Amino acid sequence: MEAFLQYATVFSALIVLILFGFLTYFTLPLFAEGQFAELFSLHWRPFHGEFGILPMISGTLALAISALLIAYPLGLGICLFVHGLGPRWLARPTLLLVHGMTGIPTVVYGFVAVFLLVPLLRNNFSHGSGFSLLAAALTLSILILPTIILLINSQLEHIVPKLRLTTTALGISRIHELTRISLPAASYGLLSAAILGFGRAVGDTLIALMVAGNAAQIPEFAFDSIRTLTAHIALVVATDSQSTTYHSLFACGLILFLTTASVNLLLHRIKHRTCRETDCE
Amino acid sequence: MEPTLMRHKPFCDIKNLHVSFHGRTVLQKVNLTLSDSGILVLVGSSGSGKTTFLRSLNRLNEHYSGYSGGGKIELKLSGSMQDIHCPDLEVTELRRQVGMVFQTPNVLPVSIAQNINLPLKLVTGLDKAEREGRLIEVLQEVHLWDEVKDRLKENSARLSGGQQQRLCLARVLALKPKVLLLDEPTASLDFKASHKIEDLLIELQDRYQIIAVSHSLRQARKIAGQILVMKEGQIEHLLKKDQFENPEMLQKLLEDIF
Amino acid sequence: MNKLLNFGIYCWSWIATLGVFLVVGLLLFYLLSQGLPTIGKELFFGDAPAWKAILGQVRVWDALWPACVGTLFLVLIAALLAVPLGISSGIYLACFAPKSVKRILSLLVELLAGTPSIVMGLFGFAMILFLRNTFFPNANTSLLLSSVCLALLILPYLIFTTQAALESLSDEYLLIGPSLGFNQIQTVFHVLIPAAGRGILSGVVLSIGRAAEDTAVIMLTGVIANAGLPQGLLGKFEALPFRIFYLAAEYRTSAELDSAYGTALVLLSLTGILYGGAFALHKTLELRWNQH
Repeated sequence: MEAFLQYATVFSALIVLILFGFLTYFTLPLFAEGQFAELFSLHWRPFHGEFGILPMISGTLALAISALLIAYPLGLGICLFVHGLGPRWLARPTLLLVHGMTGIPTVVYGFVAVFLLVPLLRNNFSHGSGFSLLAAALTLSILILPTIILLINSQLEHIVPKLRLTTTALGISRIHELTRISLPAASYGLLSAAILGFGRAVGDTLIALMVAGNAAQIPEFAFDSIRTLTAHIALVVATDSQSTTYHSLFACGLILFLTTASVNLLLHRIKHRTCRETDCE
Repeated sequence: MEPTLMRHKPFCDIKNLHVSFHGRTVLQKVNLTLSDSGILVLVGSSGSGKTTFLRSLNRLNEHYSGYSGGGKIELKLSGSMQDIHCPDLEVTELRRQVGMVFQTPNVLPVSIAQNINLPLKLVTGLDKAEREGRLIEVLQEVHLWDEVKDRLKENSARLSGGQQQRLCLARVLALKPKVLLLDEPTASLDFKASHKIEDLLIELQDRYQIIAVSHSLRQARKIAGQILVMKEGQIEHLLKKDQFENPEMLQKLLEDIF
Repeated sequence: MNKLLNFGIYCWSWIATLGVFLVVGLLLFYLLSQGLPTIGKELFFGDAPAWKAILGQVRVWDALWPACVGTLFLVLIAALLAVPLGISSGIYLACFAPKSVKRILSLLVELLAGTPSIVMGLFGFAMILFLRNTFFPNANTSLLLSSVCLALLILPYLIFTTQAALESLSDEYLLIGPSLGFNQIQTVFHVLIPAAGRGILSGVVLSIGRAAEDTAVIMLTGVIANAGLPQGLLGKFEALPFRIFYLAAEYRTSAELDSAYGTALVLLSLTGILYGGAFALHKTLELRWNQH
């Protein structure tokens, strides 16, 4: 019985290595055919034999960073609200709402953005169709918000109750306690929330695909239409079938995988360092 | 100091027992010979190693990570003294013969009957009829039978705290142990339920060798045949009945502990 | 200056919280107001008679029924593949794995959990290319492939929730088994798993919700817009989330748009029920163990 459980676990753990192997195997021909340099060119024009994915890489980075820049302050504000800046009776409903948000399908966020947010941007700012970096960043920030809040909150939940009685007795105001004592003590949560939020933003497909416009160009402006690596994969699989385009697809997949894998390795290291310092486990 | 009490036959012989967790010493160089004269009660301040000492006797400490320890412990199990670390003695068999009841009643999340039946089935392999008989026998032994005989199929979580603790005791007794280890068995119970358990233990002391950790001197004086005082991982005193019934000795005991 | 900053932080916490309430409220209100009127027999079955459609005797066009059946099969097969594997792995990691082994295996599972779903889809697509080049020249994307990839996607969730449910049991609880003379296998299966059952179940429900909503994986592995009812494991199929995506981009008539609103509302209700159920199971578990 124990052996069976062990095989199951080893199998589960090996999947990610097999996945990595497959992606690498299908990317390799690019190296062999000397097309690797072309991959990092500025132009995606498959019918002219140009397979540059730099626009997609920059699109992914621009979208993930701007979504994080919107979501992170929001998340922090909500955590402070829950832990003392807001009235106590609203704390639980707020957390319940955040938990509930994790249950809303990504495609539903994208759908509502297409019919509410995009027309709003189109009508109020005279810049293009509304399908843009800005629209996608706003929508994506709502998607990654629960991840950020729940991570910071899970740490504050342990820290705040222990401190509250002491700080109150010392006459420290709620806001000073939170910003000067509790938040610095929750640095692990703050850091890991930012990293994981970024990872989730990079990995999302549907919002970018539905709302960002999908033009393969380097973004320069918030109202530019952009294309992410994830959306690129989805679009190309749906339309093209040339073998070279496929290979460049796997390069995109490999880049995505390596990015999120580094994010997780980083998280893992931070977690273990924190564990050693605070003597948990 | 090596306290011994040879008036009755010895049932437990400990040589150079030491235990540490993650490199932090919890028990150091315990040498002790215990003889059979009623319930042995362990007292001492928290962190003095009472629970660890108790768990050494059924090798439950080894279940924790970071454990390291050594020494020789002999217990009288089936007629003769037996080394509990001897490779011939399966650790599961040892734990069956040295039963244990914990601080908080930890019933299994199944029915009252199943709580006793399941361990019997898994550990002893008795057939169904024998198990039924054993069930009734032990429930009567802990005076729970009249209270639960009509609702054996009910979830055990619905019993009161005191009833749950007696069920846990019955569950252990069903396995026919020789030695019974009790780790502050009344710590989470109210006054009345505690009294019931204490009276029960006094009743059982002739049939089983009982070793109990207690947090209350009142309780210790009521049930103990001998008291073992622990301090900082070592044995401080071993007191006989006439010693701790003497007010002066008791005063000294109090000073030692607190 | 300091006071001003504090006041700013205070205001921001209110703005952020009320803002999120507003956004989610607006989203729900919008979907309900647009979607509720479309809920009805027509949304699910179009012009086809309901019973005949359910029995598969008539083909349903421009309606939800094939996508419902597709999602149901998809989720069931994925769960069938992932649940036994995930729970077994979770049990092993929580109760049996030696520390060093546990560290490596957990890290690999964490990496799998972090893999974006589109990459999981691409993996499935790669497997088909691989099969075409080697054993099966006719291999193609299908319901089975989608289910396998979805199973891989939800596997880490199952492992983590099982492991967490077992590891959250109290220290004393872990000792019951050994103190009665059980061996490790008996302890795990007769004491720990029954006690952690609700937590494990909530993980299963959660992962089913996750499988039902994911779109990126199935887009690359066999879902298409007008497949009708799934024709076997190796056939193409429809699914609820993909239908929403497809209609949002490609709707031609206002009737199709209405149908998209209805579909979004149906999917939202489905995941809402599943996530709510998982949350409730989890909460009752916490309550039970906090009573001690």
